[in-house]
Amino acid sequence: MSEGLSRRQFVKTGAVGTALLGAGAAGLLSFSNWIQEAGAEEAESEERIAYTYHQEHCGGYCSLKCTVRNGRLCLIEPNDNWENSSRRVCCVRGLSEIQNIYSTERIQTPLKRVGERGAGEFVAISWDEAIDTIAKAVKDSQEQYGKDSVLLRLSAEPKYPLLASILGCQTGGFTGEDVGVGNGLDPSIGYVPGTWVGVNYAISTNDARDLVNSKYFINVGSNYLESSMGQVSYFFDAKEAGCHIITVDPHFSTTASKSDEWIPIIPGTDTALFLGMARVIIEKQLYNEDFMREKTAFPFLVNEADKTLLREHPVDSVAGEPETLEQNPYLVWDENSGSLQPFNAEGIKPSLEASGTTDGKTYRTVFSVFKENQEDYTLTWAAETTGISEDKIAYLAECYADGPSSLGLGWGGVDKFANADTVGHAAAVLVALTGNIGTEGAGVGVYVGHWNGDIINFGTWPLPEDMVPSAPEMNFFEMPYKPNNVHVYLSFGDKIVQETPNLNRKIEWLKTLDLIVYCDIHFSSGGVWADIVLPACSKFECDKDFGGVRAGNGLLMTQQKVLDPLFEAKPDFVIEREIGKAMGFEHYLPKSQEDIMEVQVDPKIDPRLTGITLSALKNSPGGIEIPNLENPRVAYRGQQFCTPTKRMEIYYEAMIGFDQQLPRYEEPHEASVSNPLREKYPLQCCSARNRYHIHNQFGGASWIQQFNEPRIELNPVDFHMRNLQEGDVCEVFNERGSFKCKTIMNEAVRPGSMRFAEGSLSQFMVEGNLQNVTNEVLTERGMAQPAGPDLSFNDTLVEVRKASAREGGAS
Amino acid sequence: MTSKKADTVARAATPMPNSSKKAIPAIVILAIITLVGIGAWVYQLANGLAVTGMNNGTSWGLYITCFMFFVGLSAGGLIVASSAAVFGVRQYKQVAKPAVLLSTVCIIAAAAFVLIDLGGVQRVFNLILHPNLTSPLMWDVLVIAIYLIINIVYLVLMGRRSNVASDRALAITSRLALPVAILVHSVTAWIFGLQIAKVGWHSAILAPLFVTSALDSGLALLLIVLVVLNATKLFATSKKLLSSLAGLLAVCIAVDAFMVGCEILTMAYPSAPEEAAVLTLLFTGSSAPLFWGEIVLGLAVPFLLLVFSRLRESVGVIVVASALVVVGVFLKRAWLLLTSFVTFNVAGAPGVAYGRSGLDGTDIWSLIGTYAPTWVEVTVTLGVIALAALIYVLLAPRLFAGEDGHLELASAGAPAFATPLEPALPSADASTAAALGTAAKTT
Amino acid sequence: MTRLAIVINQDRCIGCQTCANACKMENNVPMGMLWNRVITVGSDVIDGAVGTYPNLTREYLPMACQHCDNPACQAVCPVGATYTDEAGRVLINYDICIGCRICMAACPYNARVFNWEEPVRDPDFNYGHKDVPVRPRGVTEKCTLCKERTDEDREPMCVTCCPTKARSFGDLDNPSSAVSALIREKSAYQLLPERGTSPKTRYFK
Repeated sequence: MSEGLSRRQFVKTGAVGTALLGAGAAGLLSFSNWIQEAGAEEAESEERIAYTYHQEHCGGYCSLKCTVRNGRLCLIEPNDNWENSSRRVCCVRGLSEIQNIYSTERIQTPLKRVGERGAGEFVAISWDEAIDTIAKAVKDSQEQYGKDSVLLRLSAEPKYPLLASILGCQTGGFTGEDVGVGNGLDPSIGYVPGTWVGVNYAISTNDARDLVNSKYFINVGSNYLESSMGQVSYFFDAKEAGCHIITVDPHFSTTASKSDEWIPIIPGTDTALFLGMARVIIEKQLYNEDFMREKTAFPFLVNEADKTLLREHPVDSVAGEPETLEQNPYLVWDENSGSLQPFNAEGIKPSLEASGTTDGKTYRTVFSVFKENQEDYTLTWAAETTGISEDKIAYLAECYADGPSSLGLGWGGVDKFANADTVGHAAAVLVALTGNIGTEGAGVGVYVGHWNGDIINFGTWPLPEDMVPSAPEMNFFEMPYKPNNVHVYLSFGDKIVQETPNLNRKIEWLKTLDLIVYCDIHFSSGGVWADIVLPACSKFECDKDFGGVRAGNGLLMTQQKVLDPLFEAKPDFVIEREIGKAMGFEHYLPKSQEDIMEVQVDPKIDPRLTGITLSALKNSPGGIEIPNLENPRVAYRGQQFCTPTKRMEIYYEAMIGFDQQLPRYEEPHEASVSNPLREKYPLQCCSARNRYHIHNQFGGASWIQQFNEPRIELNPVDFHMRNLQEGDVCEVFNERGSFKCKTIMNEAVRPGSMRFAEGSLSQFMVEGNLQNVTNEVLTERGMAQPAGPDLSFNDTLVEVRKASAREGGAS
Repeated sequence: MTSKKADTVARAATPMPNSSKKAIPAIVILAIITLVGIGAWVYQLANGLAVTGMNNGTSWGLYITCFMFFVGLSAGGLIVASSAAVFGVRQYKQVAKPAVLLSTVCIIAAAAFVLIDLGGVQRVFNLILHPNLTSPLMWDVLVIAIYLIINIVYLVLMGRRSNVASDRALAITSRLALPVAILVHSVTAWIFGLQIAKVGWHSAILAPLFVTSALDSGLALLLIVLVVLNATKLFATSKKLLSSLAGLLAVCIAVDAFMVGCEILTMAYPSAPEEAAVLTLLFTGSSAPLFWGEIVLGLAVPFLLLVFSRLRESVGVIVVASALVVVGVFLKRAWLLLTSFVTFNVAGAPGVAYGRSGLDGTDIWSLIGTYAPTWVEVTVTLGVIALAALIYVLLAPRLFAGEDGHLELASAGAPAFATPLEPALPSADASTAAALGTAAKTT
Repeated sequence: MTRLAIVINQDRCIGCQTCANACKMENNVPMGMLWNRVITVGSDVIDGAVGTYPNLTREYLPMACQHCDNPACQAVCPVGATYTDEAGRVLINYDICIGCRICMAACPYNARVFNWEEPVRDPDFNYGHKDVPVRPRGVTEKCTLCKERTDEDREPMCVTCCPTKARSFGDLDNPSSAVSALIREKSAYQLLPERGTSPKTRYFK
């Protein structure tokens, strides 16, 4: 490293380096200038304990105990005040904050762009100038083009609950992320109030603590042990309790290696696995007939002609409001009476395999149609499609049917394929066939994260009724492709790059905007496109005694002041308030974070908070354990579903137009095995999540970089095929664009795939960003689904080649 | 007894022998290298051992290699000299003075390398305040100290006029010196040989192996020094003696090769994975140039050069062979030390942290022990070697300038070591001639 | 007698390196070195695998000073800077250490790190437990079993922070301690037993 430029040095002279040097020129680069003052407050070596919570986006909800000495954060530990040891957690990311909050990667002052957009040339400006610039631009734009000419995108961590209403701006519509599998699964089971279950994120019906009750946990496409570090214990608790864990994953993930069995699968073919399993369950009659009859839509009758479900009388399409089930129930064939009966009639025995004709309509049960649907999906076909042997698929089916079994799904793998909804739908059908739901040890969905536990509802700060966001003009992910009214783009957290497949297309759109504002703690990849950059505080800093309240993992937690704001950063609350003030709405806004906390913690909003006072909360060591949340959640207890029929509605009438009323296998959009594009771009691009990041956060933390840096990972087979050497800088490319980074080989990566950590920061790569190559496809079907289309980052083909010596000179 | 007076006169008349004046350029050059070396060492003191190529994976490098090497050079010279006294090998006795001086400067160099290698040299007094007698390093400190004292005593005694008392003292010293010389290198070997952590070191044969290497490298260096002394007329040695010593060297090389062979075979035969890993590194891996360098240049070639008595009669051949042996043994020290650092007993990523803050991200780790000496180490090493040479050059004229070489040659009835010496004789200055004459008369 | 020790359940270890950074923080370990790390055994990359896809295995092995009952590092230290204290912890007296590094050569586990340079910290101040001695340049350092914490009857930081609760801490000489029970029941093994160092740290799967 002594010769020439080190990679970091190269980076420093690159885009972000310039950004920070801009600030550095003002003498801000050395953080010691900034923390000196804080240190002066306390006597030498005096120690103080303060509690805060860490990021929630990983689902960890870690409550942290912090030791401050001489005004500096010296120690971070799990908060040890909780009875329940599973709440005394932290992870490598939380501990890395010891350095990360002081990092030179912090945005230290407000910045103003001075070079071209994307060049990363900034100068430090005052907060007043920054806020005034933003307020003026918002006002001007809204006067000239209307309220919705301002788009606010908030990532999960920044807390600006009032900002969209204050600005009256649009917020971008559907999330576009993590809803692929949920679109297919959740409509069949319905939303469970007081939880996240059924809101189209495929949140697991039982939470992870319940896995101990499962006989089998079949975990398909989730790297559970890296995704949410706060609850990894539950996996091992289950395993040690005798739950047999099988992980299906293209790669030999950490979770795969810790499972009892790992079954590799061709990326994007999970639907075929589930359909193959369903075939086995049907052929071997492993299904749970009683459950199917009583608790699912399998006995419902499908009209052969238009594929709709048979109801008591024809649906009156003229009626303003759709008829309720009471008015017009679905019909089933009652085996007791030998007649068509409403599905909810007393004393009937719905037939699973009836057929007939009524009123000129030929009908068959959903189950019969499903069996016919399954004709195409033989075990041989499933084995060929997934790359999993017939024996293994049959074995998986038998395990799953021999419950109680839990079926784990993920957000990282197949969820980021265009066909993800069919995965969720096929999983729903497997659940409906076996009845593995609504009891201990039988759950389905994404088990990752403490959102899985019960969620607590908070009160919200009241604003005038007319102070509301604009209606979304369209979904944010459509904006680069469709004419729209957006002129000012506010990105709190790096929404600029993080939620953007085919980044180059979005950049073309960004270039047309009047103002781009980026607010974050650390400078992330998207920052270079911003005109104004704002420095936000970490969870360890605030200006007042309390920085907020949060509920998760059975805890009601407070953010106490650990440190004064570092550098010139301000807490989210203050930034929101200052923008509001500049917009002339100061009088509507809370004066302090504690005002909001008063409103938030309200037993009237959530009775589970009864008995918890705000003062008790403030005096507590970082929070209070919410009573009666010790037991794992089992959603749909008694197998009562939150659908209109209270049954598992696995027949999606809304999808008839797309021939997905029952799950039909669909090849991945781009990364299919048979795509002729593979001749040019033979590798599937896997945007992997790992334990070292929460998306684009922590990539700049030097304590994290000790173990993890952006690296192109290839299986040795692919690596050698391209005549690469360890540490070569390679270019990953396709028609959309390219990026360059150091390349390593890893036997754990599936041959035929290129794995790269999503959220990797551009400034620590040689050139570009993963998002330059990712697939921007939006399925037409997705637009008709409850949560909108899911972005298909993983449904991408690329090729990897060695970057030329000049291009890769940074290494 | 006239000789005493004449000798005194001769010495008084030559405060600086002519040959020493000729050495002035050499002295200046050596002094400059020494000073540069000291400068580099000061730089190292100021910046820490981070300026060396050593790291947490390979925590010893060139300095410890040189430490081993110079202990060996020292022990080898002294073993030759003292065994002459102990076993009455009369002809070898003649070279005792240059040999013991060589031994002395080499052990000083060896000690210097240990001190230079210390991270906390300012706490070195803890060796006296907190000695831990279970440590082979402490044994070595003690043995080197004793050994250095014996060397100095030996030198002083040899410098005295021969009488019953001094001869007796010399005889006792030489009898002490021999086992201590063997011990000093054995203890150095035990620093490594007793370490169960490293299979490449942990061997009972290591001490004998070190002693044999000491013998051949020490003897080889002595031969080179004798030839140089001849050339510079500081000390004359007969060609026959050189040839005889070279023959002994050939035997030592053979024994050394035998030892290496025993060690390698013992490691290789069971095909145990750890030993196999070390051997792979030696045969075909990163240590292969060092290993094969030693085998070919340090053992095979010099042995073939010296095993035939006709070839051995050529001073040129002797010098070349000796130089190869010295280089070969240096290479052996290097592979012996470094190879065992390469493979970590528990292998796997991320490996071992180098221990440098200036490295980016995952570059702080090393999967295997790697090492390359830096300019600082090389400069300091050259400085120490120059210092040792300087001490030798400065002390040699005072201890044995123009002394007894010819005298003993004459008494032994051997033909004068003609080639380099004869043309020089006529030009030999008066004092030398006088000294020689006086000595001759004494006989 | 007391023999404090850590017993590690390798099956629960997910290689997350939380223990590595927890240790680094608590003990004010400078940049470029760590006292503790998780090794992906036999792999050239962190989180790699051994074998050929799809026939793969992976083993994580947390690695720090093993606090041997027969510590090779202690025997070879010429100045007795390395010693075993009354609680069985193998410790270093940084005031005595002369930086000869024979202990590093003697340790079969590569557990020791050396201050080759003036320690560099990021963030640039002394973090961690306030009583942890600040080591100067030129001395060796390593895991102390969090002496300052364990003296206060707390667990070492790596044990406290392990997200999977893979680590247990206690007294091997107390037959009723959790660690003694684990050693009995799980046949917890020692690393490189053939070296004769007899580590107190034990592992089980």
